[in-house]
Amino acid sequence: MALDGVKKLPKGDTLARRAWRRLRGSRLNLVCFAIIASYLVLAVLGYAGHIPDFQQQVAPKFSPPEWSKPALWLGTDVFGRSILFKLFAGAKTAMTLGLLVTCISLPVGLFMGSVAGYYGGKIDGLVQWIYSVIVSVPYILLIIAISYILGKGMLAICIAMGVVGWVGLCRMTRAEFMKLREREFVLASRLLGAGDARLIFRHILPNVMHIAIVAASMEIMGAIKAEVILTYLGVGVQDGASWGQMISDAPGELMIGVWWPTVGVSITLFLIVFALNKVGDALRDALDPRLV
Amino acid sequence: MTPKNLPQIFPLWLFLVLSACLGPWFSACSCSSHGGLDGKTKILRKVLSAKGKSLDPHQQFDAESADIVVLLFDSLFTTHYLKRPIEFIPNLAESMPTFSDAGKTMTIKLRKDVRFQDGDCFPDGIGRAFNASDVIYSFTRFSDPFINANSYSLIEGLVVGLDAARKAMETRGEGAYSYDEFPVEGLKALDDHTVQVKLTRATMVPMQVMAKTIMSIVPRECVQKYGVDFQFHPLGTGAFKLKYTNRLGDVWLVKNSNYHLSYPVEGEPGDLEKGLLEDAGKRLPLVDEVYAPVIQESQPAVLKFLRGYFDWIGLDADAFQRLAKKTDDGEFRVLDEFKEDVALYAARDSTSYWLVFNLKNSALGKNLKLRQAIAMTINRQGFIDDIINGRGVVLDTVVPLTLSSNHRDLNVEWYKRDLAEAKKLMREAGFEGGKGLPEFRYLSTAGSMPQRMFEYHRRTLAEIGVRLKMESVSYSSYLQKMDSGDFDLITTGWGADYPDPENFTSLLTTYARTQGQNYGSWSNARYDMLSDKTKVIPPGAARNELFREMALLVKEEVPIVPLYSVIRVGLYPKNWVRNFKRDLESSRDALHIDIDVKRQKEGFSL
Amino acid sequence: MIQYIVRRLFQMIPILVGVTLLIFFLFTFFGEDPARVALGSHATPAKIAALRAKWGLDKPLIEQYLQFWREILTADFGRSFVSGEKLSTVFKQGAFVSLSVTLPPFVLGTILNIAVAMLVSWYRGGVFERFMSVIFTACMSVSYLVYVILLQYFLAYKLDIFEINGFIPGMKGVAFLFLPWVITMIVQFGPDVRLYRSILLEEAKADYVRTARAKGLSETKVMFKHVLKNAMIPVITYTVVEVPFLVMGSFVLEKYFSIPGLGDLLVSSVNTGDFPVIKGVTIMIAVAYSVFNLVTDVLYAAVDPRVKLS
Repeated sequence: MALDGVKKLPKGDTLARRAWRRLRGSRLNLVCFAIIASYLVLAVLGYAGHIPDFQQQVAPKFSPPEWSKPALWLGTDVFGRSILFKLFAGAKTAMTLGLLVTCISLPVGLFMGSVAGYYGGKIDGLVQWIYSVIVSVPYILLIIAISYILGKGMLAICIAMGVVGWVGLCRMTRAEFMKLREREFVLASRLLGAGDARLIFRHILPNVMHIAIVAASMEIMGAIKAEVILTYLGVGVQDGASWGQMISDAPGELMIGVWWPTVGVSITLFLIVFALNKVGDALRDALDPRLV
Repeated sequence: MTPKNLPQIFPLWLFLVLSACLGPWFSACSCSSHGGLDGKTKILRKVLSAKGKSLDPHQQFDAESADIVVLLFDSLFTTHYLKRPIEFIPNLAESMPTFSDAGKTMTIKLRKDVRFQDGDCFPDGIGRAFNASDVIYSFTRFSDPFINANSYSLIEGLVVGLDAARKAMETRGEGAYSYDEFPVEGLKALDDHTVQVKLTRATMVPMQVMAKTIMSIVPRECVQKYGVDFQFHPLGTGAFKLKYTNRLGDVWLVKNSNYHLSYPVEGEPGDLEKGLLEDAGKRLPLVDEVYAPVIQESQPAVLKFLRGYFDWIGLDADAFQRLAKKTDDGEFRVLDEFKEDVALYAARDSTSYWLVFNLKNSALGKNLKLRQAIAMTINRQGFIDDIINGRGVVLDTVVPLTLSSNHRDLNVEWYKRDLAEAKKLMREAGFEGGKGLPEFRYLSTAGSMPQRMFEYHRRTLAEIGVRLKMESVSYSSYLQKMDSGDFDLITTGWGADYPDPENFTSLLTTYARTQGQNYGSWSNARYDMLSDKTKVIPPGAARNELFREMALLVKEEVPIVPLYSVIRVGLYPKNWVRNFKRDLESSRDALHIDIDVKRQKEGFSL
Repeated sequence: MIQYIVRRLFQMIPILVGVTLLIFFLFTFFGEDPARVALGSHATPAKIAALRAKWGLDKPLIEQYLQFWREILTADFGRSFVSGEKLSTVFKQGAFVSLSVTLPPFVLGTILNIAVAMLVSWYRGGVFERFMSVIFTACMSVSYLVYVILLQYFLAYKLDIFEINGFIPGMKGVAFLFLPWVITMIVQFGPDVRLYRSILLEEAKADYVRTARAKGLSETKVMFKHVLKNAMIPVITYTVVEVPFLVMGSFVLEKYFSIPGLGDLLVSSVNTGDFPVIKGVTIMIAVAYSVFNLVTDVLYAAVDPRVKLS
């Protein structure tokens, strides 16, 4: 066992394989994986055009839920469209949003955090300056302002959220890097002639991955929830159905006693948020090198 | 991990949780009380849905501000509270103006019994008597380019010498002058209580604009004392004085006991029976105070109304569905569960909405048949019924039904909804089923309502194959894109600046394009010529003929599709609010309403 | 220590420069046009230009940017484009109001949530934890908007426990704040407890904890004396740094409860292009944020002797 607390695995076993074994153990984890997977499948089906067209009127407006047809399981909205189908369509928006935002903020956060933590000095100062400036400005302000530049629409929102969202991960990565770069295994590798890139990518980054994974799951969840508030403010995604739009209609609907769209969206959100949380926690525990 | 360890942390956090929960009960919140009613003072409590821009009459041009300004200030004229259609009556003027010199000179005699309210801008704090110099001062201030950027255009070019004075002030630079340095030939005080106005041509417009809050009379002493802050210390001759206002726009007003107007002695047929003339001749205002908080969201306003906190609430689409309904015979009624306590008013507004085609868009601009097809598909009555709870009236021209020379007066009808005919036109235009047409960009502001409105039109137009895509932007981008023609279709509307149909029809002229309001860039020389004529001809059969021809030109070329005009619906407690006849034109309801304080304190039986 | 503080204060300057440049750039080139918003549908190019000139928006950019700095240094951002009110008064009043809405639930909520987090980590692994986990997530996945609407309807209107809406400055108005406080605490409950729990668990994994247990210390002592104290550092990091943003209030609450705070002011100022308000609020928060970061780091040094302020 290494002296600095970074445990080494028995031969033939990688961190990933061990993590998978651990995750597989809990039934709850599997259920959560399944939930996330099914949302992703819905999103893919949405893109492929294989989900029912939510724009179709299936019943009179504001029909309450009933068992007879799947389309009516969650009732209809102000135009008589199936709430259930709208939720399916919304999954496509939500998943795309979550993944796109994470695809932007994750690499950026990791990269900035790594170079800041590893090189220190002026680079660290620059990175700190950048994220301090971003964090000092109220989130809502920044998002709305950026949406003015990029216009409305999915890509614009994703870029806006990504540009603002990398900060958290960057800080955590930077902190880890600063801790780890003084560790013996790094010093040893350097003595052996390993270059900076190799050190960053093969040695330090894997020890930081567990933070990144958890951050990713939180980011996805945060993006989905933020979309709701942004839509309320008028800066959300425009086309088709989005969960944010459905919640934004809630005030008027609840006032006239139409509860089913709100309940439908809330349950949908609950499932994905719960699943992401659980999986995030589980991944963190599974991938944490210290918990071997 | 044993439970016996629990007691040690138990007290601390449990205590905290309990105190957080019990706090509210200890606050002794008698939350169904009616907030500040003492059973003796007559307070009219009205809920506002948005804050007004300014309480300085010459700096406001929005409905929310006007509703409060009209209670604090007076203009030379106003409109009759009870008579419909609207009738102009004198306010600070003693009588309606007399015209001479072929209608180009207006002589206005002023009342001699009006005083400004008391305030510390006057010596000894006593309000000074109103006289003709105040009119000259106020009108000059109205034309000051540094005070009034917005509403001067209503009388631009109509008063002799006023435009020149405005230009002269602009050259001088802000704050560098006093109004006495800019005498205007068309605005003279013949004596302390007579004002002579010289017009560039015979027109009723200036008189009508002088009845609006934008041309209210202000005391120079107070304007000079407060300068830029006059809007926060408004003081006029009005029925009420401002006691309190805050950043949210809440206002608290108290009665001016020396107000000069009295309750009208006659109304229109039916008013007597409804009890609207019981207070005839009484000095106004009838209530002691007005309390008007701003609540932006619908739910809290409705909930508070139901708890008896308000004496008047206007309903938006969602609130309407919760509290009222439209019966099969087209009547608006409160829902049965509220019938005992709540009465409803429904009044037609002088607003008009229409769909604009951007004629610079090649497909729309070049294809009359396409536009006609769309005109025959748009379901106007359906839109009114489904999207705005039936609170609207279909219009066949841009002129709302509250004004003369509307489509009923002119006997003009728009295209009937006819899908078969529309599809035939599409085929003739070469766009059968929508083939070959791009997706049209429908510009709108963001929000739940605009989204619903767009969706409705989208579904309707899909019936003939026309595809719409929504582009929702912020308000100023919306205005800017409209101005620059960066859209394919929009719904736009207009509220009457003064009660003349020309205020609406002139929006479609080529001139309006340069002013930024003819968004679709329609240009028809004959229409322009007719519109110019309507500005100089007096109302009558000849003028109607002009309007009729203009309406038919619009129908022929379909640059727009007239949609509807709004019916404003609101609720009030029937058991203690009296004399309420919704005055949409001048908003002087608060002057005439009376409250039965005992019943008000009792509240609802709900 | 003094040297450190002074150095950190100097470091605020480049951050402020960054913030001012960012705001200036964003809202000068891309924001709403306040003149157009003010003039509404009666706008013509001439009127728009005149209004912009009146507000100094036609001056060269460098001059406008320097004016921005002048306003920061004199802490006077002039008057709102929309309402004409003096901003120094507006900010002072608004900040106090916003704080009265956000600070009490923040303090109470933090204490409560730490306590609950401790409870949950205590009973780690059992049914209780699973159950609470579902509760947290359920709380987190319901949108803020839905909370406000439902709780206002049920607790204030139907059950008459709280005031429906309104605001009175001073102590008399406390009753109006109870429901906003409750809503704020409920919304914060889920995320906070999760965060604190994960911090506590991280600390509980540390070697010194194992040592303490091996030494025979009781669970309670381990929890309170060691884990909690050490967990305070990350907890402080996360919570103290939130305080500057409390001044912003919550625009959803302010809209539904008619509270004259800064949240709604900020959001509507972005929509109307009310540049002075945007500038003022942003700078206020940016400065507060830097100051609070400094406070956090100083607190670190006070709480943990190992931490050296470099």
